[in-house]
Amino acid sequence: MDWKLDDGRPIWVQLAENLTRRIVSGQYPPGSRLPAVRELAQEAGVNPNTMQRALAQLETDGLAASNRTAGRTVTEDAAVLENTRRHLARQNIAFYLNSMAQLGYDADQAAALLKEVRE
Amino acid sequence: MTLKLLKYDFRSLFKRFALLWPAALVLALLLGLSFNLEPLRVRGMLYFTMVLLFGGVMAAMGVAAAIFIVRRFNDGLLKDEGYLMFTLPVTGAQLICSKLLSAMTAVLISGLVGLGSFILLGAAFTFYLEDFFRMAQWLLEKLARLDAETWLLAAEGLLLGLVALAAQILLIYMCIAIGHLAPSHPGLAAVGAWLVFSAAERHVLSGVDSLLDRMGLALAGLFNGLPGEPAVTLALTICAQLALSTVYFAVTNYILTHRLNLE
Amino acid sequence: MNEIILCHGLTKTFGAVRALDNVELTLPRGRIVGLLGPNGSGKTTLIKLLCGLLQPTSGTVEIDGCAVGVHTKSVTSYLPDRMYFADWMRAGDLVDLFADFYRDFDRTKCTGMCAALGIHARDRIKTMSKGTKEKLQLALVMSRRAQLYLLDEPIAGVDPAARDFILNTILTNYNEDGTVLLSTHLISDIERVLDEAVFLKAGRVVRHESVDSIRETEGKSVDALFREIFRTQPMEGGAW
Repeated sequence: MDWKLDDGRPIWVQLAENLTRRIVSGQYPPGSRLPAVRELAQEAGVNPNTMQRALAQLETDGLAASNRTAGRTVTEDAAVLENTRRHLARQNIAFYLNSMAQLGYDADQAAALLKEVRE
Repeated sequence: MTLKLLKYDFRSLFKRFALLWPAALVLALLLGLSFNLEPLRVRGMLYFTMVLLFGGVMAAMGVAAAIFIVRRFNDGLLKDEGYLMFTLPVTGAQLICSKLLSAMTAVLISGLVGLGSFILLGAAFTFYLEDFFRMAQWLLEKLARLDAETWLLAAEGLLLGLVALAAQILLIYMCIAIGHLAPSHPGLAAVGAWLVFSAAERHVLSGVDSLLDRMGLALAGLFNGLPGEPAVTLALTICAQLALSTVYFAVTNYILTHRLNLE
Repeated sequence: MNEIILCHGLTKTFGAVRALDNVELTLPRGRIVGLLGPNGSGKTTLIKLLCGLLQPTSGTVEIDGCAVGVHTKSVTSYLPDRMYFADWMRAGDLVDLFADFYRDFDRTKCTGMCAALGIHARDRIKTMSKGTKEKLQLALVMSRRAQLYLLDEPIAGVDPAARDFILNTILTNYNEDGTVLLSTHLISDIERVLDEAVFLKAGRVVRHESVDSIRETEGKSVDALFREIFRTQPMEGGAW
């Protein structure tokens, strides 16, 4: 997966978002060990300090926990994972509705169009 | 650390002279052997060309040594290679010492090779080996019968040669370093500095000489009967050369440590 | 001693030209810092002063709490903007040289990097392409566990693939307790790698802050900020 990063926004925020998506989508399953900071930083082409900050954010959000011996592991708390998923889903929906509003469709029209496209 | 630097300077030295030194010795041997050829006419022409070749190689060795001295210092410290040398964890003094020692070695070995060539020349010429051995024996006997005083003088003479060589090389280094300070035309500045300081050195040395002379007259009474007057003079000359070397070294070190300006 | 570099009132003049003008700079350890500025802004001069290749006209430079000298050179790893080897040397000779003089040199790491680059110990420097020479120099420099890495324009004049390689090499090999100071004017390629940015304009430090702070407060990339700071007016015609 490519790390698409925008230099105009803080990188660590984008890295945290990216990692969150990976966790929620199951790329890093619950309870699994996250790769080491250096490895992730190298993959993303960023400063390890930046990646470290992103991972710290994951810990703050409750998505990962730091183990003294085992590095960082993804949380197994289903509630947290589900909440995060819903939160990201809401963001996507908000984005969709916003884009449709720009085209002149209100929320109901946008929902109807969505249903129509799905069939 | 200086030893480590020397390792690299010596490698550079031997790469430069790897061909010249053996070539000189081999040519000398060939030239000597060619003298023993019978047909006179052939011998004459061969002799002529070989002498030219031999002279050429001797000159080439001298020139190569001079070039080595200048270029190893200038290119090795004040050009791109200086970026490496001056970021190594060594002092300016260590760098200068390393260059000095390898330069002196270049001159000394070249000198020995020259001497060796002449000996080989002689040895090959007197294809009558008994003559050669008789000469060698005679020489060794003479040497064995020399007294302590002559050996002391010889040792001092050797030491003087070494110190004077070091002084001359350090003078060249100092002038190159002074040239480095010049905003433009560092080469010309270096040559100019060398002309000025060589002349100054001659004046200083002749001053020391006349001083020694006067001292010699004063000391003549003191040292009457004691073996040592010329030895003392030599010792004092050695001191003079050491003083000059120290001054040249100090100035060069100062420039390289506090006025370095690598572009 | 938390600061690796301390510059105080640092000035360097070449004749009439003020290459560095009263530079105050403090850099902490464990950071990747970009020294950013256009050509002629004094970046190379500052780096050379930190290396000991130049002496200040006035002001002080301290690395690891010491004035520039043998100790600072032993903890500083410098990558210049040119080749600095004697022609006759082979790759193996260079590795030996670094191993001889630097106690923090990791020979195994370096030979590993050379192998990955396709460089053999017996290869002569003379026969190497420019790109290979540059990579060899980089491998040597980054194989040291230094406290300070000074990289002078490591990606200038280099193709995009090589740039990625160089940045990757720096990221994977540098000593995390150490600081990397890299000078460049190609910002967009490296800004993701930086912790802090120091903007140098006409010999003066005009801005020094963390890269994240720039993105948050300015709302733009470091590259965009650079263009803003160093914008020059387009030339208009007129009398000579």
